[in-house]
Amino acid sequence: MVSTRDRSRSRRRTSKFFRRRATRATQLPLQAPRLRLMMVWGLLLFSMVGLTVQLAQLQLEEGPELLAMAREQQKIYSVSRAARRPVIDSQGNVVAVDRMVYTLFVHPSMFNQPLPEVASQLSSLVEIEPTALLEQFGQQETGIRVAGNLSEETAKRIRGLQLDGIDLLPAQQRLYPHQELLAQVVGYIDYDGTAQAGLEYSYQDQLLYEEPDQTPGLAGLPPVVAKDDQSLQLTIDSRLQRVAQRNLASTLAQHRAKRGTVLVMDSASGEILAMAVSPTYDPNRYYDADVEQFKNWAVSDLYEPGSTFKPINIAIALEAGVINPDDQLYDEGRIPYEGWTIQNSDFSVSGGHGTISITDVLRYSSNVGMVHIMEGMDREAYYSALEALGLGQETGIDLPAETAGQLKDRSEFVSKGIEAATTAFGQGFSLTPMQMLQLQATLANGGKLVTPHVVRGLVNQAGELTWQPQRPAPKQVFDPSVSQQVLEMMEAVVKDGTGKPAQISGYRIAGKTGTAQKANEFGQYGNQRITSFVSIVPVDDPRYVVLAVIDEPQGDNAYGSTVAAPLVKSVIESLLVFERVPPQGS
Amino acid sequence: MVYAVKPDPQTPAARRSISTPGPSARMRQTAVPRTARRRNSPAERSTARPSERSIAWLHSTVTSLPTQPRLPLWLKVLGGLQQGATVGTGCLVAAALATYSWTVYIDSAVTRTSRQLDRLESQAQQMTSANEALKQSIAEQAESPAAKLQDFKTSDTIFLTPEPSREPVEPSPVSPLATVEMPHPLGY
Repeated sequence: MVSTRDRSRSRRRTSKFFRRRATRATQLPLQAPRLRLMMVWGLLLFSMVGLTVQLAQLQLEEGPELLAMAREQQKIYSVSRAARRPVIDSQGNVVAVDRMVYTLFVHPSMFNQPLPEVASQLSSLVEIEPTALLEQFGQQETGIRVAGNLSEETAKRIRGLQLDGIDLLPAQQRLYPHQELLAQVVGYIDYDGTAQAGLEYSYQDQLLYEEPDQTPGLAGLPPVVAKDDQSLQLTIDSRLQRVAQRNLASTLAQHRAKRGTVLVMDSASGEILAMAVSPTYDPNRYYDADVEQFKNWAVSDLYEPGSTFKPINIAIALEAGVINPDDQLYDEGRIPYEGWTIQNSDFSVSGGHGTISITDVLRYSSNVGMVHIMEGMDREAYYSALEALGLGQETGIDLPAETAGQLKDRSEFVSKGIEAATTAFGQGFSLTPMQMLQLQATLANGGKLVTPHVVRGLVNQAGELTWQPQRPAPKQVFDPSVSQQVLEMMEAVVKDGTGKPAQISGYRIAGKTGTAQKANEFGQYGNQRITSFVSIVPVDDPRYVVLAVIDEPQGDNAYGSTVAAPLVKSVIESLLVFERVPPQGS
Repeated sequence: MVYAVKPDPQTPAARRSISTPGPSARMRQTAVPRTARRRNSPAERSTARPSERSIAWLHSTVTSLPTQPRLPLWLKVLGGLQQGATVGTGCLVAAALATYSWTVYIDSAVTRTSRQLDRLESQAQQMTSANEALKQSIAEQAESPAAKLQDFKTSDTIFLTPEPSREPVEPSPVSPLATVEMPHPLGY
């Protein structure tokens, strides 16, 4: 309670202003603060409604537009490290793999060190002379491309120099560490990232990783490629391929031949263990290569097989029951046939061989003998047997650009006897070296026509197959006994026939030489030859088929036995060691 | 309800208690006054009990403070809602701050981890390329005529047939040392 004495004291203390205000507040009516309150409340409500309307407008009307703008801003255009799966061989060596390479750009206007110093620092890393670099720096102020295809380590070292005005642009590149070794099989990828030849082209869908998810989940995250640990495994053995490639190159050099190929197949499954093709190129520098070399001529080019086709004909005749393995026939050496003359290749030396067995026909590679053998066969049946073997069609190998063989049509074959006669000793029709290998494999695996293939499938890190390409099942074309009989006849060729250079002590080897005349551009047979040798090892448990074809060897002594047989022998030696085939009594 | 007792100056007891102001009055009240002590004699006991008059005085002179008016139900519910909404808003603000800080953390963690992944991928690629380049260079050196290495030949190779795998042999339980008889120490 304030006493009267106190009240007077307080009135003297407070100023007049506050006294008047205090009195006014108590005197104003009750409506004034209420109005102010209402005004404030109305203002707040109005601003809230306004904000809600603005929010609705932004979200609903302009929403998609703004979202697109945001996404555009958030998108990071970065280069992914790998776009394709690696390719490995049957031993696990990497044959093709993706890597990041860098292109060096310099902007001399932004250098903080003098130009000669920058040039001297960069020259050792990009392997360009400092004077040449200085010349380049003088050309323009910014954006000079100094070097491309710099590896990751070089780029790291350049970045470590901490120079200003240096720009390293990443790019993706396919690296082929083994260079020329498997160029004809694997193919190459060009600068635009398009696969151009070989397995890179035909297995694109299996090699490419799936497209990255285009919507970036979080800003700052590079686009994630759906990578996995799978690689494409080949059936090719790099070690055998190296041996075959090296020996083929030396044979071509020795006989000055135009081109050649060595093919090795496991006849049980159709797997190609080695495919050496010459001339070849380095897929890392595909731009330096001749365009001709991009096609694998072992599957794309046709040739007339010559004498290497004779065992197949004998198998056809045995299968049809026209002859028996121990039949005898008379070899004149030279016979006229419907206006043409057919003679043996050694007629000028040996003349006619007289009465010989079927095995001798192969041993001496007698053309006349073969004509007599196939004479006994009905031409329609003969043509049907050739068609059943797949002549005139493709083998179905998984390399691109395969050419189907050529066979005269049925009416011409049946009506003209000379056609059947020339077909009897392997001329008058053509096929690819790969098809020849496939046909020879029927003699090795008990009469089955297998599909040759180079790719085993997709394997994961543990080596387990996760995917295999679809292949048609093998077709039985000969009776197993027939193929065994022909194989034993072919063994005689190597033992004491034209295939003697291919002998290996401790092993039973079957083979057949072939020397065919090549047709020139006028359609006549000229001087050039195409020599070949086919071999099946080992005879007691036939498994591997090796074929060597050398095109246009020069010199007088250029025959299948002198050019191709030694080459096949060297490949077989390494093949037997790699596949661990122990020697049997020969 | 609070009752404030305004002492009536008429009562002699009250007069005695408030006659001296200040803390001394409080002390006086706790200490029994002399006159009151004397009063506890049986003759005076009847006047020590609160008289009916004092009770009546208590009831008549106590005034209760103005009480708050009883609020209607809807206002009470609204007030409760407002309190709940305030609490909810506080929680939401806390949750929004937590979520925002979590997104910032996640963003930085993702950037860090993706950089690490990129570094590891680059190292793996470099290792593969270097490994294969080494193999190629070794093969090239081996193939060059200067190395004077020859191709494999079956005549230079030993072919071994592996023995069929046998059952693992159990070690004998008897230790050989226990069976050795030592008639005299050996000099070593």
